[in-house]
Amino acid sequence: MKNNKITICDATVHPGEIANLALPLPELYSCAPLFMPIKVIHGENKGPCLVVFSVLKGVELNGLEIANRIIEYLDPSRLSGTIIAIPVMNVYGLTHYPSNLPTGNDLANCFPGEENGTYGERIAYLVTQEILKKADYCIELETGDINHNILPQVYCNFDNTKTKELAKAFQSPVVTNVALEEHKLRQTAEELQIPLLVYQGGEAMRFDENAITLGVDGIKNVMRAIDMLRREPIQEVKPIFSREEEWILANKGGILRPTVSLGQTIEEGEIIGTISDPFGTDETEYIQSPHKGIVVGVNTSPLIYEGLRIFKTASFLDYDKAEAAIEEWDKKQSDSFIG
Amino acid sequence: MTNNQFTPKGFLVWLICAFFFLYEFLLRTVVGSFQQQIMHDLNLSSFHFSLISVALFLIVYGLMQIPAGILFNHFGLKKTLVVASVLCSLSSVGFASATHYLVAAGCRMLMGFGAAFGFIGLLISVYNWMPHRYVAIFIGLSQFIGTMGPMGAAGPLEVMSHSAGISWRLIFYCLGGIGLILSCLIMLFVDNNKQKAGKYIILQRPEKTAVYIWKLFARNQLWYIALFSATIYFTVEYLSENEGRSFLLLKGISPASASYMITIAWLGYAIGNPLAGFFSDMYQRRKIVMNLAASMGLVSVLMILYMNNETLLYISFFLLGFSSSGQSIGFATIAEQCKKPFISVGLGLNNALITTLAAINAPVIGLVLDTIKEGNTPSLSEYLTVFNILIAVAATSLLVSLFFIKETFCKSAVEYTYLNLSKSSSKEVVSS
Repeated sequence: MKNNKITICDATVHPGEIANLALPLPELYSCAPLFMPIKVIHGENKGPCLVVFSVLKGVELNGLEIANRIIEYLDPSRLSGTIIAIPVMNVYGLTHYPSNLPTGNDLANCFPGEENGTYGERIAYLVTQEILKKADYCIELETGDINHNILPQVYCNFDNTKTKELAKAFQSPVVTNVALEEHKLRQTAEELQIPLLVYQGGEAMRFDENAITLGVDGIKNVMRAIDMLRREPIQEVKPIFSREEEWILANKGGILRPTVSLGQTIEEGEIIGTISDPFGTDETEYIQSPHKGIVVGVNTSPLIYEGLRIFKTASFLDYDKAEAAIEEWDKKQSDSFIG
Repeated sequence: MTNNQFTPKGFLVWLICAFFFLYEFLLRTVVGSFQQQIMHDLNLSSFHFSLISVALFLIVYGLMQIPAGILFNHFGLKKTLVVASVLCSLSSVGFASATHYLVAAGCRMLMGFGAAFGFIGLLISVYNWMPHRYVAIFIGLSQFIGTMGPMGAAGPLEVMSHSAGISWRLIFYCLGGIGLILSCLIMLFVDNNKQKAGKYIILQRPEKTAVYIWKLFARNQLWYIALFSATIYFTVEYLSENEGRSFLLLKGISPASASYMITIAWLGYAIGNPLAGFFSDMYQRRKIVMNLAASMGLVSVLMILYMNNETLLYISFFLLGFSSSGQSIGFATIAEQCKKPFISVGLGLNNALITTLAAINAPVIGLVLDTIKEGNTPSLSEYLTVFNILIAVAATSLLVSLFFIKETFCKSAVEYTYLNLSKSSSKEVVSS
């Protein structure tokens, strides 16, 4: 069936059109105007509206690249429905690194926003009103923080069956329950009853080709699963579901030498790395895992301070099955993630 | 950076540019109204008269289209138009004073040089000052003015020439004076619409024009659109300026009816321009209007060639003129394929190709006709054989429009569309 036109602010986008839109952002003290680039690919045929966005903190470059590659791939004549892609949601954060917002808070926690609120709340209000309210599905593209290399995984709300099915379709090796309570954007999506997937892979401010390719393929597969693209979804990977993830923190500052790698199962009490004195004076500390889990994130910085996050572990019901699934998935990748 | 709004200043700028376009169009066509007087006073043969009346003027006019775009881009609307208008004015006075063929020819070339800036300048004023969503309507209206002005002025000038005994020299002195008044008006009121952010005027960084123009000309879409514009417009101009009347006479149409049919074609063109622009802007589509115009053009050419019924021929000529207005959509579309500072160059390319196709194709058709008729008066069947070229040209415009030109949806294909938050869609929903 033929698609209808959609309107974002004062711009009407017609079926079959690829529109490059620039959303004016709240003013800064300089006379430099700031715009949020929005790409709308409006399919000729009717279908759902999928919103894909990235760079909420200003540093998630893998997500930016994934969004751009998806935009390049799509042809509106072969698309059922609409893609609204926002490669950079936090333009201020991207251009003012390491600052996030002029007010210092996270853009994610400014949602659903307020028309006359703070800088971030005003952006959030525009996005909620003009973009999110038009969405049937939503995909957030994330990376780990600076120096945090994350095993590609999808977060979703396990209580929502539809979202869980979409998470499977993404074909990432691990699916984890999303943390809603500390993320108001995700809460807003829940309130608007928009199934939301969060894809996380690689580390901030770095391009990770494997994580990017997996993200692009994952979005394409989700689009197939919701009938936006004609092909049947690929179902090669059986993801494993993790209820909980936890960061292990450093008890001492110094040089970190991990002895485990991403995807590896670690036992409670197992030595997973060492922290030594950079000046060779103090004794080397052996880091013991406080619980059983699979390593899904590693701090890649050799220099760490006390209290810094160093290993992220995910807990599973069946570790043998989980580790086997991750290994099997890793073999199918062009470059190994788990080393 | 933001979309333009209707302003009295913008309307005034557009109006002055439209008057300059009308003025240069008049300079282009007015010589023909005084053919006998000029040939007598300057002791010219028919060939030499044709050179100063059309050929020399149009050669310079055509060659200057792309450079005109570049000069507008470099010097802005005011400076370029003032110089163009002064050149037109001085060359009119020079032409009026000419006693020798070479001086007259030189003045006509200078006139062609100045006139080359008229249409491009008018289009730039549309892009500079008019709201983007009404661009095609204003381009159509601009074309309408260009067509109707000389048509309206031709009659009184003919009367002056033949009945009142007014000399062509006096007319050209007057035209020189009008040119000077226009130069003053341009100097006083015409300006580029400065892009603003709040109360700041956004300055343009110096760009490496040559590099960008090279990149611009490497874009296939520009050439497709220019080819479409040239092919959709060619037939109406060819039939009215060249063999249209002779062909119709061979079909048994009276000389008066043949002349009317040509006039009807231009009437169709004049009506079609703003109308095509209006529908294109209203439905935010370019390609469909181009497809319809090209289809209508092909059908009307076939009807003109193979129908003998007078009423149907009138309709066909009207449709042919109407379909030619697709070229104004070509101007709107080509601008949407260029970055803002280089819109003038794109418009220049479009106009250059329109002029070049007419300049090349008309003599080619004439040459083929001369070869076929072997010194005799051409027969109807010989005309029909040669006019297959017209069918090919019309078919080219349809093929290019259907398969090569991309829909722009009335938005820039190479720049962002800046959203206006005061017209938020969510607010519209709430208020409705």
